[in-house]
Amino acid sequence: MDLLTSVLNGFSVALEPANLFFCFLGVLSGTLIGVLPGLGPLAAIAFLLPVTFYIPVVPALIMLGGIYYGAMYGGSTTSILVNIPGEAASVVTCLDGYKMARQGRAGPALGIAAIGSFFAGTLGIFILMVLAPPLARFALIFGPPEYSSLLFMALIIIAYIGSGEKIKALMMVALGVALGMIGTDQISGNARFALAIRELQDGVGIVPVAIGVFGISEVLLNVEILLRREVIKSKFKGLLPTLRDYKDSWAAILRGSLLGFFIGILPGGNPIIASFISYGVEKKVSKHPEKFGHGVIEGVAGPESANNSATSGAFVPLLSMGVPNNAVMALMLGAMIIHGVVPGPQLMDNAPQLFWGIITSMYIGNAVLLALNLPLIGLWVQVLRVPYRILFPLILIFCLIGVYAINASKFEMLLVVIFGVFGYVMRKLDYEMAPLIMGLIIGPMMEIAVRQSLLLSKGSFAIFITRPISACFLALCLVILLRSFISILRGRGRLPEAK
Amino acid sequence: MKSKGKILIAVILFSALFLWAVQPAAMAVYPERPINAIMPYAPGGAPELIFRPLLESARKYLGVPVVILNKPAGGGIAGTQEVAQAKPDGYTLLLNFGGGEQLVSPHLQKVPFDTLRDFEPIIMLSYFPSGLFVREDSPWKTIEQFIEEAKKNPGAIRYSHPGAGTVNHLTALSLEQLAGISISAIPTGGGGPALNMLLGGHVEAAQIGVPIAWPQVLARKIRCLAYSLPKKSDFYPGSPTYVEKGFDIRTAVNQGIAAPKGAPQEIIQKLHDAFAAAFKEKSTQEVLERIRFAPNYLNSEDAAKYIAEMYHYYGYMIKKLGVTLKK
Repeated sequence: MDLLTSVLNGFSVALEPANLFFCFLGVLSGTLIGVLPGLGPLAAIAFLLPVTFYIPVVPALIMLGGIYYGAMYGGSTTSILVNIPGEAASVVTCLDGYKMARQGRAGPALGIAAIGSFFAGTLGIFILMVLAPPLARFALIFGPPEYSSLLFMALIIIAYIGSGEKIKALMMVALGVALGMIGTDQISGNARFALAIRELQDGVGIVPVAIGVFGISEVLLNVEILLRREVIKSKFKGLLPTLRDYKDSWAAILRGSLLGFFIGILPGGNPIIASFISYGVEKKVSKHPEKFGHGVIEGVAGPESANNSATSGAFVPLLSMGVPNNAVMALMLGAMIIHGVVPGPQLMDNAPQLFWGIITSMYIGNAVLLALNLPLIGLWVQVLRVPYRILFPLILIFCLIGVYAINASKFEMLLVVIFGVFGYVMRKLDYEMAPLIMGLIIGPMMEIAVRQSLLLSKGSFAIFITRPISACFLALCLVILLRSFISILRGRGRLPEAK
Repeated sequence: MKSKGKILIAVILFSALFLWAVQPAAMAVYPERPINAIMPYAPGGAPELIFRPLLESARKYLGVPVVILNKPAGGGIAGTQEVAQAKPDGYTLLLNFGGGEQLVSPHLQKVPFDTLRDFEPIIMLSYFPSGLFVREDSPWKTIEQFIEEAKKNPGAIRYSHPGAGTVNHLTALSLEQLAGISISAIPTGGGGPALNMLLGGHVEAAQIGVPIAWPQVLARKIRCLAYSLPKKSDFYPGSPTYVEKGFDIRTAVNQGIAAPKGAPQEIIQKLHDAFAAAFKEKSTQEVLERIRFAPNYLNSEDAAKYIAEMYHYYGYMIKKLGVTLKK
């Protein structure tokens, strides 16, 4: 069966009214859950999975896909409106998205996030369709050494993300990495820094920390302003992105989509990392990097696209080989099995109806997402009109509910509060929180990758250079560092300016 | 006023007496409200796939819903502890009883429960083995060839496994000891990553749970050199067990259900009968086949004996292998 026939077949399945209905239902419920701070695709799918048991296979899987995309998008809504990440992958959106909202441009921010996500998701699905098996094989070539170098590059890029002092950003990264050390070490099984508190054996979760340092601290900071004087509300400058916005963002969207997809197919590939790297890349290639962090639309377009296409990318190993890349995909795998589908290398051949039905429904899911959310922008933006003294208790409650809903852990509640206060203090001292989150995520991943690499090479560091892909990444790092170094030297007048 | 007061007191006393007398009768009608079944992992894990249809079916036989509660903290230990300390009234049960955290972890670290003393096993449903896998293009077609190669080049063969202290890790270590070979362990964060490492060519072998690897075997990407069930199973055709090949390696991850110690016998019996009936139903058996967990039904008594046997087996193995978490 050639590609076109398969796709058309798939569409005929996906466009059946029942399936369309469940797709819509999935996208809607996913978005609503994703909007709650701390609850992302994982939580949304976990909650709604039992609902899907009562409907047949194809609509069930379509609905799950819709939930996934919906939750990813929902997370960016709160990031933009109130500077609280709806879920970990939306942390980066807070940086510029919220600033745009403060400038009265919440509508365009939400709009470009939706449009960018749609484009990225669609592009990702397209690539998935055409190239799934070879991509999956390529992704397998990525082993611990390649991973280590990629993550190392990500750490270097972090230095560019912050808009404040570089040294403070690096200090926060270091703190994040240190926090990431807490927990049971995967390789030796030892519990590290757990201080005999059982909950710490799993480590400090990203969600309590992110909600604390972004959400709670934001509320504390704002309340302080509130007590001193009324928050100045700017006029709304339009609800949709302007032509100028599209012009500025299309390149960012394209870059973000490709970058995100690539990172998504890797084992452990994470939409969070994709969004951070996209932000770093956008800032680096921008003609006005100093404006980042103050409300630049590329800072929203790029990362939002990246995290959506990473989502599509994450399906590649699952659909082509039956191996899940991350926790959400594992959940999808479980859902598929319960419904009688066993994904494996033969899924495409054994159940083409299902395979193509799922893929085409992902297109439809993305389209529904866009159609659903653009009109809702007007509604979301009204949230900003609510007086802050009514809004902030609600925000606090939602944050706490979001964190509790994940693990039902009272300890994590305590963590949220502790990090909330910590975040408040640090932000008053002009330390940025995004690098902290980045360090917390990347630190442990990189540590494991490096140690595995050394185990594979029996202790030889040469493995990072002898493996071609790894060497490429390291070379890239070198280039980035050299360029910075040169521009520092130029700035100090030690090197002649380029002619 | 005084007589009204007396009547009121009389009514209250009588009601109290009545309710108190009725209590044992109420107990006899177990279950009368939904039962909580604690799953000590995050939602979506493979074992959950059997328990969901099973508990759905069980509802018919028990008359009340059995609700799955996920308590993922601590790698399975927190959930287990919660049931160990719960009231033994039959309304709190432990799912996936017989997994690594109840049989293996107690020998490696201090855990807040006693597997043998804190639980009343109700039923054993299934188990799955750990298997040694190599790629299809690998030169070793049998485990003997693998061992021969390992003897010629000690430490040269690298294998991935899902993590230190897992049943898979232990299986590989046992093989090392029993066959007198030395192979290099590459720990990863789970069955999926370990499998990926093998498929990607980064390691020569992988020791992982058989169900997660089996789709790849069917697709002829990898083959299984041996698996660790005590006897052969039709679910894993074409591969031998370790036992067949002369190695006493019987590690398996079990799926069972247990109640806290002290739960009344009648309740245990009732639950067992309901679960056994639900287990026989097509919906559950179908899932078992799909995810390739070998059936291993044992009633309450046999389950208790089996768990005790496996517990001591792992303890003995860990001592013999000298495995500790403080390496």
